[in-house]
Amino acid sequence: MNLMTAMDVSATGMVAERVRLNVISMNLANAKTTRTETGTPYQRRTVIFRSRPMGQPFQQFLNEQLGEQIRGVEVVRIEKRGGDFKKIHDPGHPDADVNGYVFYPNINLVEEMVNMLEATRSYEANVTAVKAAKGMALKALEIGR
Amino acid sequence: MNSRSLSFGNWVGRTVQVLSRSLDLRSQRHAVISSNLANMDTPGYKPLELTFEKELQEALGQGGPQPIRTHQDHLPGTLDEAATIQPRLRQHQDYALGNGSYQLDLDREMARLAQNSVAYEVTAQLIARKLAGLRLAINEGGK
Repeated sequence: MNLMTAMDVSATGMVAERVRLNVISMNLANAKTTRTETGTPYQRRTVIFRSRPMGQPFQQFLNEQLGEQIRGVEVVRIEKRGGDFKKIHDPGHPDADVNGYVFYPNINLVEEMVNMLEATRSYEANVTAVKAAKGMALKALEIGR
Repeated sequence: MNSRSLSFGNWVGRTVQVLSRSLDLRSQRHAVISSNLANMDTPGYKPLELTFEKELQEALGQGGPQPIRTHQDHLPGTLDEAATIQPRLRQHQDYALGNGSYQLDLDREMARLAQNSVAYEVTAQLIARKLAGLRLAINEGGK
């Protein structure tokens, strides 16, 4: 059932994009977080995607050529990005150092928003693919009417 | 999986055989396009393309005993090969950047997706029509 495989593939895409959206939301929510458990300001996170083969080994055997090539996507890990914190002079802040500087997370709001749009579009593309697969399957059912 | 072993192929007609193989190939193509879309943001992923139009054409034009065509515009008569058409899967050259890496073009891929699913629906409809025609012949034939 290729259409079902196609839907599974799109589902992995949707899951991955949703994780990415969650991480972006986390970055946005923590854009001004100066305190974390590790004692540093919040560090920006990014998701790393990797493609992975779909289907059971048995299916792959049945359909050698396609089985291996049809690939879904998965999140390998969520990575912390370096500590190039923004240094702002604010002596009144409780987290200011001896010189009166506060370190803020290395988050660029515009960049996060752009990534968010990108993730949303990718998600939508996967949704469209699922809808198309569903439409096709329903159309195939009509043959029997 | 020899489709000729399905003996009903003989009376249903080869049209249905070809059309159902075409449905099969289109659903495979849909899976390939879905795979490209799911991996849109995967670094290093190479978009794939499934082609079978040429193979379908070739299969329609050759193989098995062929009726003599008295005019070049006549349709070729043997369609048996259609059921065994093997599609070709390869890296999508439209998206190659030239340095060995690939960049999926979302609009183009969505257009291909839409085109493929419309073609699938048309094909399914054609099969349904063909079968409805047969049903009509069966029902009306005894009257």
